[in-house]
Amino acid sequence: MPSLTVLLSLLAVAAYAFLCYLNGRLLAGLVTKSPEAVSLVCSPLLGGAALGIELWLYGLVGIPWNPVTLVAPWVAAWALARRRLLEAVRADLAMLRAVLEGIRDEDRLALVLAAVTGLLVITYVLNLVTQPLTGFDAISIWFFKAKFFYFTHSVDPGSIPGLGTHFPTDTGPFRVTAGLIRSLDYPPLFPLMVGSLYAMIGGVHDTLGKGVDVIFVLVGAAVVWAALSPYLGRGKAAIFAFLVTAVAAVQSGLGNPIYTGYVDYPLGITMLASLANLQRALIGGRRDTWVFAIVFAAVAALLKSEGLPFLLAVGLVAAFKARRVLVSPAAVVALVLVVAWQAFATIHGWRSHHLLNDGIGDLPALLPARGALIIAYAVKVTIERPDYHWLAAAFVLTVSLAYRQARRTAGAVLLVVALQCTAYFAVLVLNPGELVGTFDRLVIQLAPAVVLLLGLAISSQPKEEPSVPSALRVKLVGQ
Amino acid sequence: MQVRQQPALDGEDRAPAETVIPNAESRSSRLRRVATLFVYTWAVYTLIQGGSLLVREPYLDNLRVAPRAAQGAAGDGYAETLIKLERTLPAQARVQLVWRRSDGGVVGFWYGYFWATYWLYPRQVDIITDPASIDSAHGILLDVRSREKAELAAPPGYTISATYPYADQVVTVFLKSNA
Repeated sequence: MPSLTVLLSLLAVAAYAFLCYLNGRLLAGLVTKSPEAVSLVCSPLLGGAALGIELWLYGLVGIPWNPVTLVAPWVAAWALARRRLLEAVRADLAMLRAVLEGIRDEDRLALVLAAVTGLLVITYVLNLVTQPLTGFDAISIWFFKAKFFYFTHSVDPGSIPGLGTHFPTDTGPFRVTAGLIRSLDYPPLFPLMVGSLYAMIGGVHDTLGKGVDVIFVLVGAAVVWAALSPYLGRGKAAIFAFLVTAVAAVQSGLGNPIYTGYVDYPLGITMLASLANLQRALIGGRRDTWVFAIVFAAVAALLKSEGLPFLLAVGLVAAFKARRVLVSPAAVVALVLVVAWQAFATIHGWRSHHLLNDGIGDLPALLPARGALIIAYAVKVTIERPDYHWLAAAFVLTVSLAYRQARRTAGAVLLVVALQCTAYFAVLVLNPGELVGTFDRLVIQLAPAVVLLLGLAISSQPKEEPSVPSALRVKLVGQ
Repeated sequence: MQVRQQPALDGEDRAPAETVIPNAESRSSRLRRVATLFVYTWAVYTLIQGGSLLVREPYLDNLRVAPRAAQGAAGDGYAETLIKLERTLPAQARVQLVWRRSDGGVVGFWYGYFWATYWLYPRQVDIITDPASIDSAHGILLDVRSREKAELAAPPGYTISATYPYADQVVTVFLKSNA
């Protein structure tokens, strides 16, 4: 007999994902009446982020966090936009039906992989809501903050009790305190998203909190499929959707207790969503794909500090190619939230890691050796881990293809990923303290982008018009 | 790379076509075939790996075991005890954790502190390693010791509420008499 708690947890996660989708669809409709496929499939991510930000604003004005206050504004918004929302949901369902029917016509490998992708998603979801919460960072940082924010109905990590606690014999000037380990400056969005799930069910449920990852699992597969199917056809796109769901790094992020509950996988998928929209924008997509690329990059920066250089890279590309989108209302709101958090953390003097622990004058002597050491370590780990061979080979192939033929489809996206890697490298060179513990997490962050890049690099020509979902096109043609 | 781009002829939503010069084209298409073959091989490798995960997954157990029970069984005796105490200790009490486990050093200390602050939240948890520093302002004392360490006598004003012995450690809960 299945446990009632497990069944209720699955129901709660499904309800949360649906709530995120509806809210995201509503918000996407504010940016454009008919989002392109790569933007549309990211609706749950947009809606999930919006629920977290809603609680953040509630904390600022003193509104309590509970199921009624969380959902009521959205219900009102659904009611106001009911006709447009219903049409949008119907169109999305028609598109989903067309996709599922279309997959039947594909080759057997694609069919098998599509089926296994579905099974993996189910397995991940079951794991997320049933397996224990055990990772050190999950307990000390992410889920503790979620619990703390939820109980205090506000986002003020500075009021966490015991921040000055330290190991008794650690009395030096640079002693490690609980506050340092709790990383108060880390962006608050992931704990807020977990907090929104707690608010939805009306209480803290430690295991269920991990269930927020369900929206990232779904968006990861869907966005790769939506980004690649116009170029590669449905069959090959299904292979890439499978890869982004099943590569070993992703399995680690969702199934390995050491990593489950960390934010690296959500960050990787959010960067993927931004990159897919950026790529579409760069090859002539509509203005709204630029806006979504910036908004998702900002969401990445609100999830984890590594999202900041990513936002900067996407912002730079936008500044060169489509400057005006940077002042669009959605982009401005997203950027203001990022800047607000960074200002808030800086004013409080929260810095979990000091970027520079050495004197400026010592750097010329230190950096070359550190750089060589980091590269050597990265090569060593890549050689030792068979799972990394595939990712490394995929990256090398992507670079070769982008250089020879696929600059248009993959070049700019590759540039952003390269800038992101450069940012990781620069930070590690300046402060190599956590190199060993960090490398695996950076791989989890980058693996989804590598899969997308390889797919883009393989094809340089759209096979079909990417801007309009095929189901909608059938409808339009039939009119 | 020898690629020329042609201007878009069909509106803003369509990518302009690329013209690839023949020599470069053969090299490019060869590389693309290699990449496609790589993708299929990677997919089959990942299918075997992912398939193995699917086959090994204890679905029925996952469905049957309540998450709380799974959580309780996941850690060591200390973590297991915290999960039991979460629901039984008074929610407003301050807890002093007396960490006397000899394993783990600094890492063990932080494990003790962060696990207690997480599982016992909203109770405020303070940690010490020396019983001489016990502060009677706390309503609850949680003594966590390795087996070889001497048992802690109940400090004045406290009584033993429960003892949880494990193979490697003992967790004792003291409650302030008037708490």
